[in-house]
Amino acid sequence: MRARGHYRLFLLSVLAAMLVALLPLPTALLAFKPMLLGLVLVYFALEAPEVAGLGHAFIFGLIADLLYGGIFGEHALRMVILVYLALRFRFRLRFFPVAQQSAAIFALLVNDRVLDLWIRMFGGAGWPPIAFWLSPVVGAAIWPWLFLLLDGLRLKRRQSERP
Amino acid sequence: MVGRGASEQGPLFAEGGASTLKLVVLLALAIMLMLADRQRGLLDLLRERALRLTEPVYALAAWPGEAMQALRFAVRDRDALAAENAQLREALLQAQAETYRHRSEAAAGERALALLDARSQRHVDAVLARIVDVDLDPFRHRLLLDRGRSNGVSRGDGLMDALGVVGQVSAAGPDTAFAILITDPAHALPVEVSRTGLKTIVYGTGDGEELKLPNLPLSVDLEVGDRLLSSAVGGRFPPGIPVADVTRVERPAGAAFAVAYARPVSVLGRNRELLVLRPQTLVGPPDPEPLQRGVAPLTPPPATDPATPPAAAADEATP
Repeated sequence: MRARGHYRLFLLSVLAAMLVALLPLPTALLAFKPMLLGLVLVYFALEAPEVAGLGHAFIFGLIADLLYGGIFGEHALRMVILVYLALRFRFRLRFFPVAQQSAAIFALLVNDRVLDLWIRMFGGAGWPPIAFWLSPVVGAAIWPWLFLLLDGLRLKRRQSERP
Repeated sequence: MVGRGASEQGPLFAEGGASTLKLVVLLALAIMLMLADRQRGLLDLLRERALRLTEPVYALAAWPGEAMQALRFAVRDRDALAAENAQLREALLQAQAETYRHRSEAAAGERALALLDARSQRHVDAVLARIVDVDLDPFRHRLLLDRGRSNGVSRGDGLMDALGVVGQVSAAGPDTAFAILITDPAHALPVEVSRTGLKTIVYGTGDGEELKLPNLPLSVDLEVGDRLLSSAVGGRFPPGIPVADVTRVERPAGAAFAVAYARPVSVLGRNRELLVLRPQTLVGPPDPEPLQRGVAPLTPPPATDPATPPAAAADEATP
C-alpha cells in the first residue's frame, strides 16, 4: 500500500521534472538549467529504492530522449548510471549532512556531464562552451530544497494514508 | 560483485537494488540504441510515431510562454495588428525566397547551364512554421516546430528564415516537427559557391557560429567572404538560398586537402517564424486545369517539368 502511494508520487514528480525542463527560459539562463529528472531519480533511489530501480531509470531516460529530441538512448544511459551510483552508495549518502550530500550530488552530476560530453564527442560534436559545466552547480545548489520538498510530499502522503 | 551488492542492500531492497548484471544489460541496450540511432531512418520513424504521444506535453510546456506572449500583445497591440504583422512577415519571407531564386536563375543563365535553367520553371512551395517555445537541450542544435504532417510538413523538408538556410526537418509528427540545424554535427548540406559555381558540402560543427568545409582540393578557388548558396543537389532546397559566408580557408602544410570555415547567414536566436520548404516533386505543383479542359496535349503545362529528375541531382552529388 505504501509502496503504491510512493509509486504514484514517484511517477508524478518524474513527469513534473520532465515538463519543467521543457519550460522556456530566457536565453541567458539556459545554461543554468539543472538536470531535474536526474535529481528526482536520485532522490527516489536514495529514499524509496523499492520504486526507483534501474529499469525505471532506463525507461524514463528513453522518454526524456523522445521529449528532448536528442540521440536515442543517451538519457537512458546517463540516468541508469546516475541511479546505479546513487543506489550503490545509498547507505553512505543517506547519512551525510545536507552540505556533504549536496557535494556528493555535485560529483554525481559532474560525472553525468562528463558522460554527456563523451556521447557528444562520439557524435562528432566539438568541445562545448564553458557554460556547459554550470548545470551541476545549480543542481547541487537546489538539491537541499528539492530534497525537502519531496520529503514533505512523501510524509504527507504517508500520514494521509494512515487512518 | 552481484552477491556483494545484494547482501549490502539486504533482502528488503532486493528488487530495487543496484544489480550489476542489470546495469550491464541496460547499459549495453542504451549503447546499442545510440548506435542504431546513428543509422538514420530506423529510429526517426519511431520518433515520428512517438511525437503523437509527446505533442500534448509540448503544448503544455509551451503554454506559459505563449500566455506571456499573448498578454504582451493584448497590452500593446490589437489582435488585428498582430495578424497583419504575421501576414506581412510571411509575405516578406515568400518574396525573399522568390528573390533568391531569381538571383540564382540569373547566375545560372550566365553560366548557361541548361540543367539549372530547366529547373527554374518551379516556384517555391513553402509553409510558414513557428518555433515552439520549449527548451530542448540548450547545447544541441535542434528545434521544435508547430507544424506537422497535417500541414504538409514531412521529414527532410528544408527550413529557411528571411536571411538564409536554417536546417531541415528531422522528424514530423501530426502537428509538430523536430528540426535539425545546419550547425549540428550530424548535418551536411550540399552548397554552391556563388562566385565560382563550385559545388561542395558544408558540415555542422556543433558550434552555432561555424560550419566546416573539409576535403577541398588544395588548389580550390575559395576566398574569405565568398557566399555559399544552397544547391539543387539532393532536392531538399531550391537552389540559390544563402547558407553561409566563408570566414577562413586553411591549407595546412603537408595536408592533402584544404579546409574552409564559414559562418551561417541566418540568425537563429532572433526569429520565431521559419519557412518549411517542401521538396519539389517530379510532377510539380498540382495544376488540374489543363486536364479539366481536356486540352492537355495542346497547352504547355506551366510548371510541369518531368525533365528534371533527381537522378540528375544524384549524378552531381557523386564527387
